Formats: sequence, C-alpha cells, structure tokens
Amino acid sequence: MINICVPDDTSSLSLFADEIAELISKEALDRKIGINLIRKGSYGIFSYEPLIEIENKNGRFFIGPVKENDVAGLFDNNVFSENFNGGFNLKNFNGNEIFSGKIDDFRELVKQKRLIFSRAGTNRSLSLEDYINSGGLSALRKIIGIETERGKGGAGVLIIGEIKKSGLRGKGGAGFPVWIKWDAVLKENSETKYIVCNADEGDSGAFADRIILEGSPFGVIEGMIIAGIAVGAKNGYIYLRSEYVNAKKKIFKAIGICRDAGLLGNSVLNSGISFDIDLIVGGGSYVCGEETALLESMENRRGAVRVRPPVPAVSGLYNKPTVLNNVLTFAYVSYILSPPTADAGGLSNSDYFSGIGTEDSKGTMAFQVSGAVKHPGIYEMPLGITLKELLELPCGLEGGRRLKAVQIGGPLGAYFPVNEEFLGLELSYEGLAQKGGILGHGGVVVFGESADMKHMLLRTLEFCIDESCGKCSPCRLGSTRIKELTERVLKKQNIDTNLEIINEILGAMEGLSLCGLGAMLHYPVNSLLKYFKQEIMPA
Amino acid sequence: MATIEIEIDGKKIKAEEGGTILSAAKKHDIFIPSLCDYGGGGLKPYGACRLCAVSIKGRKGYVFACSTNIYSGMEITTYSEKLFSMKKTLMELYLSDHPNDCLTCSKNGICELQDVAAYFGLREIRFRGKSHLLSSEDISNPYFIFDPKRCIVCGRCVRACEEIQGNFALTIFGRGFNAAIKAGYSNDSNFLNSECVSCGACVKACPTGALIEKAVAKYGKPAKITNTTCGYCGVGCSLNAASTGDKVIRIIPEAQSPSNYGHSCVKGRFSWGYVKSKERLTVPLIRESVGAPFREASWEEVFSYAADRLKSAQSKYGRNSIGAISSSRCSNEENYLMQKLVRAAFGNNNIDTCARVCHQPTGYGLGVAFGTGAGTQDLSSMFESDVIMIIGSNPTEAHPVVGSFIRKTARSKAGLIVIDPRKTEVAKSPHVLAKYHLRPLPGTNVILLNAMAHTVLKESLERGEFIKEKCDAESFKLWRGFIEDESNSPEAASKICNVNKDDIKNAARFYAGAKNASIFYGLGVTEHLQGSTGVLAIANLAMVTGNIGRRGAGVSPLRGQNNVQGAADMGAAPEVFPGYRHVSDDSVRAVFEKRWGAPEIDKIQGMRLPDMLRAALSGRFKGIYIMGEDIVQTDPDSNRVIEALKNMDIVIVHDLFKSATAEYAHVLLPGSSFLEKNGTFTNWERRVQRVRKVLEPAGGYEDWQITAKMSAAMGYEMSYSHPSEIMDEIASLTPQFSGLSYNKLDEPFGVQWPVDENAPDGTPVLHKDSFVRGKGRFTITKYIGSKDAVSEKYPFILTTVRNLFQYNCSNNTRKSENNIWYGEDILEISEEDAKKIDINDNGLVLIESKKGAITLKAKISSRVMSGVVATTFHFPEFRTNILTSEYSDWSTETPEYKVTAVSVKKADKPYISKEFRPLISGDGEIASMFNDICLIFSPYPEQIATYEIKNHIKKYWEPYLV
Repeated sequence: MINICVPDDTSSLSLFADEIAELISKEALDRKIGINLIRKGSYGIFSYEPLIEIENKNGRFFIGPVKENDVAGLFDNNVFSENFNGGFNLKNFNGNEIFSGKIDDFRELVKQKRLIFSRAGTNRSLSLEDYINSGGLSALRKIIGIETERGKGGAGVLIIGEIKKSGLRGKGGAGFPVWIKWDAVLKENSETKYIVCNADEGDSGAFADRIILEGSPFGVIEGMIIAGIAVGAKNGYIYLRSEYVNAKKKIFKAIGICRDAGLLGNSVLNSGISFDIDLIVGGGSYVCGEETALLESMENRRGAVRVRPPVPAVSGLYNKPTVLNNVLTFAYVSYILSPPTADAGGLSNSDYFSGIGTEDSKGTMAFQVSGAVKHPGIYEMPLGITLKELLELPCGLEGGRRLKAVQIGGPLGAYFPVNEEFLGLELSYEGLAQKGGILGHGGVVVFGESADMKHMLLRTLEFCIDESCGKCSPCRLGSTRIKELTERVLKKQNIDTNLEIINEILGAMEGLSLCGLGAMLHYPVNSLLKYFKQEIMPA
Repeated sequence: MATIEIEIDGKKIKAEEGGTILSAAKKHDIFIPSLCDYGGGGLKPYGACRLCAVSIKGRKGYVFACSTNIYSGMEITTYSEKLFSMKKTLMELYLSDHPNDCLTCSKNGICELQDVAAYFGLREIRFRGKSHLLSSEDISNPYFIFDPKRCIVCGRCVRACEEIQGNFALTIFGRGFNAAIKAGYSNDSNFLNSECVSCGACVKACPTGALIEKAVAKYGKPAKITNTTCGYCGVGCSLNAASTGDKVIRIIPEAQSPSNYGHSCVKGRFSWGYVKSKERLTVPLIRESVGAPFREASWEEVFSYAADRLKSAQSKYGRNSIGAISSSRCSNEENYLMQKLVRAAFGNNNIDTCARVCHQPTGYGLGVAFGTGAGTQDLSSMFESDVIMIIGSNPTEAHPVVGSFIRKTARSKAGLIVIDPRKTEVAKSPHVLAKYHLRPLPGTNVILLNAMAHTVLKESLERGEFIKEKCDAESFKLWRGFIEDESNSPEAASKICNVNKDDIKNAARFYAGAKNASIFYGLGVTEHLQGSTGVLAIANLAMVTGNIGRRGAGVSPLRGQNNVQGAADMGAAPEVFPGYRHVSDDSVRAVFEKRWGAPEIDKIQGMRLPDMLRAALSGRFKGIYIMGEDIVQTDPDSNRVIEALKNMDIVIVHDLFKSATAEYAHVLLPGSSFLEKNGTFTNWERRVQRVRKVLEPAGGYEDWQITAKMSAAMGYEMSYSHPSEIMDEIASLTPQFSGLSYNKLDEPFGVQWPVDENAPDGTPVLHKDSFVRGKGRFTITKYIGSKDAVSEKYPFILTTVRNLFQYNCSNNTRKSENNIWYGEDILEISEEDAKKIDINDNGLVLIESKKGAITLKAKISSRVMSGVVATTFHFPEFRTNILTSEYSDWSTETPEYKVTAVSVKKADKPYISKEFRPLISGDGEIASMFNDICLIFSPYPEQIATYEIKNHIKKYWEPYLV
C-alpha cells in the first residue's frame, strides 16, 4: 500500500488537482495498484503545483507540477509504485518540465525558516489528528492548565508576557506590537469582549493567509482560543475574504471539527472555559480589510472606516473591547506559546523567535513572492534578510530572468528598482521605512523588463479611486483629482505645476486621511515618479 | 465630570474632562475648522472631513479634535504652516466639486462651508474635473430640498437620521468619489417615498446648502429669531422661530433645551403654515340662531351680545346653566383666566378642559397614589433607565421627540417592554426590538397589570425596604391580599387579555429586576372605562418595585396636547382651584375671593364636560363658552354632542378656524395661535416654558385678552397689560408655583414645578425623599372590563389611534402640507380579517357600532391583530367619533375611545349616520356610573368601601347627579 497525496488548495484545484486525484484513483484501480489517496494542503510554491507526494517503503517523494495527461505516463514510469525512489527528473515529459525528489531536494522550501508554515503541505488540512501529531494544541493545553490552576483570568498576564517577550508584531500590515493590543483588551472592564481574526486578505500579491487557512486552519483557531482565554472573551469571529471560497468551506468544516472535539464550545477541552468561533464572509470591499471598516461590515453596516479613538481594543465589535489581528498573527501566537521544538536549541519558542530577525522586526515573515519569478510562492524567512537573499529562492540560483522592479507591501507599497542599491534593501519594518516604503503584509510583486510602469501608476490610482470607501474627504476627492492631474501631466500639460499640485494633494492625503488607503497612496505614486520618471514621462 | 485645565495655542482654558478637544475649543470660542462634527447636535464623532487636525505636544503626527478627548495638561496647537497648508489643499479639493456660487446660494450667510473656506483664504481653485455639479435635486419633500451638488458627504444628515430620529431613512450610496447621500435604497427612492418622517433633523444638521428648507431657499436668511415652545403635543419642544417681518421663514428646535435637546418632529418643525391660512377666523362673527348665516361684527358688539345671552340664560335657568370649556392648547395664563372667568364672573364652577377626554384619569390616579397628578421624572432621567415600559402609548407618532429618545435609549442600553394591542415603532423598528411586546385585547390593561403585580409579589420581587419606608402599610396589606388572589394570576389574566402567561411573568420579572425602570403611558391607558384604575395599577406596580423618586425611575404620562398638564394645574376643572385645591376648602376659597375681589365663590364643584352635555340634553344647561376645542369632531358620540349644542341658547366658540363645533355656534371669536401670543405652556415633565410672540394675532387679540374682555362684558373686570402679570397672580395664589415669574422663566428653558421656597429652581424628579402625599398609597384595582363587548353583530373591536402627520382634530396640520403623507382617516385591519370579509386594500368599508355608522377606506396592516381594527379621527369629513360611545371612566368620565364594538363590511358609497342613538339615557346613565363606582370599590371591606364611594361622589359629582 502506498500513500499518494494530492493537494487541495485553491491554486492546485485551479490546476485540476481534483481531476488528477480522480485519475490517479482510477488508474490505480485499473492497474491493480493498492494506493491510499490522501488530500493535503499546499506547500505554497506554486510552480510545482499540483505537487504530488508519494510515500512508499523507500520514503517520501515529491513530483510536480503534474497535469492530467501526465498521470498515465507517470504510472507507466512506475512513479506511483512501491519501488519509486525519487529518481525522476524530466526536463521534457509530455512537453513539460517535471521535477521530482525528496523534500530536501526542494531548495525553495529547505532554505526557509518555516515556523507557522511548517504544517502547510505536510498535514491533511482538516485533520485534527495530524495537527495534534505535529505538536498542535500543546500551547492551548498548557494555557488551560495554567488558567485552571490559577483561576479565571490567571493565564492572561502570562500569555501576554510571552508574546511581549517574543517581540511579535501584528502581521496584517501595520506591524503594531501584538501584546499592547491584547493588554489593552485585558485591562478593559467589560463582560463582553470579542476576538476577531482578519482574514480579508485583499492586497494584490498576498496569499499567505489563504495558504495557512487552507493548509492548516487549526493553528489559527488555537491562537484565537488562546486570545480568548488571555483577555476573557467568549466569542471569536473569522472575517474572510469573499473570494476565498475554498477557504470558506475548510474553515467552516474546521470549526465543526473543533466543536465536535470539544475544542470550541461551552467548555474548551473540558476546562469550563467557554469559547466559540463563527465565520463571517465579507462583501468584497478592499477597505473592509482595514480593521474598523471590517468591524462595520461585521455589524452589517456600510464598510467604511471608523474614527479613532476609540481603538477596537477599547471599543470594537458592537462597541465592546476587541482583539483584532491578522490570520498569521494568531498562528504565530500558537507557535510562540507551544513547547519548544528541537530547532529552538533549548530556548522557549518566544526566546527563539525573538532571536531571529532584527532589533525592531523580530521573528520570521511570510514573504509572498509573485510576478516575474520562476517559483512564486510563500517564503517564510527571517525578517531582516535582504531583497537579494529573498529573490534568490524563487528566482533560482542563476539569478533568473532580468528583473525591473519590485512592489513590496501590497498595492499601497512602494516600487523599487531591482538594482545594486535595492538588492541590499533590508526586509524589515525599519529597513523599508528607511527607504520610503512599507513591509505591509509581506507581499513582494516582481516586475520583469517588459512591465509598463506608466500603466502601473495609472492602475494604482484607479485602485485607490475604486476602493476608496468615500468617507474621508482627502481620499474621496484626492485620489480622483490626482488621477486627473496625472493624466494631464502625461499629456504634457503644465507638467511642473501639476506635479507640484499632485505632491501637495498626496501630502494632504498622507497627513489627513482616515485610513491607510488614502494616507499611503504617496508610497506607490511617489516611488514610481521618482525611480521610473524617465519611463513614465520621457522628455 | 471634573473640570481640568488644558492649553490651546498657548492659552490656558478650563474644560470638562471627558470632552473632546473640539468641544472644549468651541466653548471658548477658539476656532478649529470642522465640517462633519455635529457634537453640538448630539451626534457621535465621525472623522470624515479631516479638517480638525491639531497637534499635541509630545505626540507624533496629528490628532483629530472631534474625536480626541482632552486630558489635564494637554497642550494643543491648532496652527502650523504645514498643517494649515495641508488643510488648505483639502479645502481646495472640496471646492473643486462645489458650485461656488455663494451669493446666490440658499445658504448664503448661514453656511458652515462658507465660514471654513473663509478661514483658509482660498483665492482660486487650481483644478477641476469630475464633479457632481449636474446632479439633480430631490424636491419631493414638501418642506425641504436636497441638492446633491452642494453636498460635501459629511454624513451629518445620515447620522442625524440614525442617531437622533432613529429612522435610518438616509444612507450614503456608492463609494469613493461617487459616494452620495440618498433617501431610501432603491434607484427611484426619494425623501417622500422613503422611510423619512420629515422630522427635519437632517436639514438642521446640514452644514451647506445641500439640505435646506424650501422657505429659506425662497425667502432667504431670516431677520429675527424668537425662542418659544411648540404648540403641538405635550413634549413641549423648545423652538426657535425665525421670521422676517410678518412672515415665519423657518422653525428650528433649540439645541440646549432639556425638553427636546435640539430635536423636533414634522409638526413642530414644519407644520405651522396654518397660522397664515386664509381660512383663519380674523374677525368676530355672530348670528341669531344656528340655522342663520354668520355676519361680521365688532368686538364690542360680540362681547355684549354674548354676555347678554349668557346672563339671560342664567336669569332664566339659574346660575348653573352656563359654563366654559377651557383649552389644553392655550397657555397657563389663558386657562387661569378661563377658570377665573367662570368662578368670578359666571359665579359657578362649571369649568372643564379637554383633559376630561384624555388625561383626567392621570390627575386622579397619580394624585390618589402619590399625592400629585403629574409625571414624576424628566426626559434626561429616562436616559438612565435600564428598562422602559411603554403602556398604551405610541410615542413615535403621538409624541415623536420622546419616541425618538426612547428608541435612542433602547438602541444604546435600555430594554423595552411594550404593552399595546398594536405593533408600534417602539415595539419594533430599525435597531429597536422590545424585549417583550404584550398585546392585550383593548380594554384589558388592568387585569394584565394586576397579573404583573401578582407575579412580582408571588416571586418575592418586591422592594420591601422601599414599601416599608415610603408607602402606606395598611393600603399595601389590603392591596397585597387582593392582588395575590388567584383571580389576578397570569393564568387567569391570560384568559381575559389574551396574552401568554409566561410573557406576562417574564415581563414582570424584567421590569422588577431592573436597577432603574421608567414607565411611559398614554391614552391607551386612560381612555377606558377603567382609565383611572389603569393609572392606579401602574402606580401600584411602580411602588411595589420601588421605581419612583430617583433619576432613571418613574411614571410618566405622555400628555396629548401641549398644555394638558398646565390646564389642569391652573384649575380648569370643576372641583379644584389652581394647584389642585378643592373648591369646598373654605380657607382656600377665602384667599381667592380676597385676591379676586369676587364675593362668594361657589363652594360646590361644578359640571364636568359630559355633565354639561347631559344637562343640555335635559334642558338644564343653556350656554357654553368653548375656547380652543373642537368637541364635535374630537369628543365621542358626535351626534350626542351635536344634539346637546343644538339644545343651548348660546354657544360661543373661540378658535382659530370655523371648526366642526363652530357649525353649532352663535358667536365665533377669532383666536390666536401659539406664534401670536405671549404666555407659558407646561409639558409632560411639569416644565413650565415660555411662549413668545413672533407674529401679531390674526384677529388682533391674544386669547387671554379675549377672555378678559369677555369677563368685563359679564361685569367682572380683569385688567392685565401682559401675561407676566397673570403669572405673578398665579404665583401669589398657588404654593407650588410660588417661585414662578417671567424673570425666572427667562432663565433658559423653563423650570419644573413645584417651584417654591424649598425648590427655587424647580423639581426635576418628584417624590424623592417621600411621596408628596406622605406615604405612597396602594389602591385595589379590580378589573371590571369594558361595557362594549364584541358580539355576533359587532364582531370587531375598534380602537382609535393617532398618526404622526396629523394632530388631533387637525385643523392645523390639515392646513399644512402634511396631507401628502396622511390625507384621510383609514381603517387598519389585519390581513386575516380582511380576507374573512373579503375586502381589499383601499376598498371602502362601512363601519357600524351601536351608535352609528361611517365609511372609510381600509388598509390591510400587520400592525393590528385579528379581531381589532383601528382608525384615527383627524378628519372632520369622516366623523369617526360618531361610532364611539358615551361609556366612560368610572371616576373621571373620560370616554372609552379605545374600545368600541363594531361591524365592518364592504361598502359601495360613502355614508355617515346622522341620528343620535343613546345607549342609556338620563338617570339610567347616572345609575350606571354609580354602579361602576360601587363595583370598583367592592373588594374593599364594607366600611372602607362605603367611605370611599361617599367621598368620591362628594368630591367629584356635581350636586344634580346625586
């Protein structure tokens, strides 16, 4: 009996993973080969997807990308057999390049420091058993032990202390220290508090939330339960991007599995502590990824940003104190509070985590590299590595194609030319800030030589116009006016004056906008005009 | 809140802790530009205009003054080159999508956008582009315009609709640059066909010319502003009337007033056009007999004609054969003069008001239980309630501003219990859902309230301490024995009132369990055969749960008309002087006799309004002076009223219009509207507020002057040069008003009585340390039910209700633009019943009671339950009150408007029955009243019962009845 694992995340499904799984079963039956067909999440290196795992007496082997019309041939070549030993690396199989080998042969994976993505691809996404076998729930068990021993509210200070020690910063984009938020909610005197997980992953070039939710949602759920215990909240909500249809199904099932297993409900792991999670799917607005607009949307209101203060930690969902963090943040919390793994070298996970990265940007970051690279995907790497170090992995050792630009941190991040100066860019909150950019949610979109930067500029402005909620006047009016002025500049009308006005408006938007959408528009616009002026406005 | 010191631009100022930077700055006249903030109007910070950015020492970046709270020692800078320049650019962005035609704009001179733009000194707009300048106006509302091209999307209107009025009629539609204000949600929705109730909160909130009154658009910025008090319902909204010359341009609610906190409704805000209606009576009219045409006459002729007729009636039929009906629409001073006229000039006590047909049971019931027949708390106190119980009251329509505040409190914290057969907006409306909506059959309030009290006692939820300390022990003991009887159990009550017994129990527990609970009630309690018992049952429930005498707790009657409270306070009642002192009290009478120079005031109580009509039918009562009351349209059993009037020798009607009653008058005196006189009104909170003259009276005299002249014609001189002198006289004669004067009332926004030595600034909450009567008294509230029961012939119960857009007899609202929303009385009927009798929406139906028949259009509605139909009596042409009966409250003769058994059938043509059909007549009626009283007191031990019955009759019945 051999195990054959076919991924079931959105990217693989879009490449016919379901059909391939069916074909494999059928072929095996026809050929009378005994197999166990298993579905797992994705490792997140999309160039290999669908990446199929074969587990036989020789060990675990991978082959990918596999297409439907490859299946029969692979059987013919005894790939799906007891005897396969990974030796299958064809530059031209059915006209495609297929790679195979052991997991260690995938340098894109091996070179990563996967703390929260360690289960993505290896676990059956909806298997609580796999989760527990890979160390899951140990953090929660430990915390429940403490809470039970010390009485209600006993674990909160300790949890927050560990998070503080780790130096974990929120992964949604702003990088706000997690412990400060949690501490604020803990200190609020309110019977009702909420935990909200922001899974409205809307940045262009961002997919880390999706991979983890589709690959191993239990880590996020565990993190939310821990948050609930830490601050004294009984209800949690996952606010999911409407386009994530597959993730929706999986989260829904995962919540059900957790309820059945007594992880969620009136008495979490029979502790008497009550915590439950519900899934809420958004309406498709980018701004609803902003935390207060997200809360408005959850309350069935128009997705517009709320004025602060009060911050959600004081007055969040239904005006109750609310812990609101990104998907990855909750996953990191589960990791940080888990008993140390062998990698940690005797340190606690929080100490180990804080030992990685830079002074102000500790731990790892799930960089999501996409665009003109050979191996787009998730690269969980220590914060503080250089752009060059990051790009080496997806681009291949040889340096890949010639690259023109990167945009880091989503649609409102700065564009940088890929040159000597910027290859040395330190990928940390402070490193990006120094160069006039943002790290954001860790999206890195790579542009090849043929990219049209004028188009990117106009597209950026259109994005801001389309996604502006229309509440605050700088963003509501400013983005439209900047686009009009830019078009005039491109038509060579009053170039200097108009550029000056554009700059003025961007300044007003930066200083006065209600949320990042307006306040950060200057990053892409100014960086494009600075580094690619020649291309955008040839003399 | 503590006062702290902060610094703005180097200037140290004191401000209240917990407030925002912007509000502190505003209080000290420090200008920080802002457009979306409307904190002064009570809205929460919104943070959309972004113009109020300031910097704070020790903090990076900018904070926004509208949403940042101050702390002690905060150092704020409102200006820096960079900040100013950013904001100036932002203002340029605003104006790049604005018409910038200030001089010809409707809002010219009263525009906040104009003020803020001026601050930045913008001299040119360097960029234009996409704009809203071609958007079309929404002119659907009769009173205001929405002009989207002047809109800056600050959302003040949307938030005012949400947070103040609570109607959620407006929204921001579209996103980004395309975001625009919209009424309703569909493409073709507009202000008129949306959920908008035209309260005007949005128009008031608008900082630009986007939402503006049509009159301002037409006539411009008003020249003069006069603060006054609304003349519609008993809420008593403080209003600022803006006028130019002899023309009112607009009326805007006063933001600081504790009666309404800047809010008003469609009536007070917009429906004052009647004041200048061509149909107003402007000259006195007289005629010899009811059939003859009226002719114009001089004031002198009219007064002497009227006085001669009144005197001749008295000489023929005796001193008691004439009387007067005063008006809850008129001022305290006018009511005072009316009762003075009757007592000093007519020489009897035949004075009553329209309170007789609405809230007299309140005066009686709360008087008996607490010691004074008035509401116990004020509006702001209700904001602190955890539970609000609303019984037989539809405040969203009848008292819209209180209704809005109840719903606002419900949205933020309080749980609601609604007892009403009909689904009202306090029971369910956007973001408001009563925790318990109990829907008893009309006429069964008393048993339901008894069952709630039963639950409280049976489950030991009473506040023993409160009862022991503040209430009369003997009365509690007797009441306890009665209420704990099985006949008052939820199980037993459930069978009578048709409310689930568990709902009764749960509601009782919820009310009793609240830290602070308020009760609001209305005519759904009082206008019953057992109206007074209903009020007593409410008082019992409040006392047994200790919900009286502190902020957040209380019992509040929502008064129908603007001055029901005041008219009663002023002694416009047959048995009491001002201040509720019985006429039989020799020492009190002596004081009045002396001050008035009136010898021998009658010491026997006079006739109540129904007594007068009854006596007219039997030929004993021959002359009446009716001020500001349309009894033919609004009193029950219209054909009986008409019959009674026809039987009189002299009917003087003093009104704004030729009302339905005027058709039976010999003399018509042109009255003055609330905008045309000085005086005071007293609202449901006991707050006495100034009414100030904006316009000259249409007929030349204010109402108090007319009454004084009438008195002189009767031979008793009254000489006052201003109503303030009348108030001084009232204060000198009435202990609880002894501290009142126009000087005192000119301190902003009035004062709540008692105002005396002990409480020179008035009394917001009554019964604080102890009840006014000493110990609170529990009264046994036996349920005896209504007399008019459904039968095979009359299978439905008709209950009369109110509509937001019309007001009582509606001779005012009908002459405004409000008919566009509600232009005729209609019959609400459930879908189930409509199907049963095969009628369609809008189909004509014949409604018949034992008293008569009328036709109305049917409206199939989910507001009424099967078996109950409802209508209004706002329109004289439909004559709803032909159907209602002479059955009335056992104690006060307040009619049972709320229960009439009727049949409903399809009709093919309009019909109104004209003949008077008495159900019981003459002595039978009196015997029946006596019977009711005996029945009510029957649960008491015989000795007490006999005493109570005797006492009641001695105190309230005119001698003839005995």
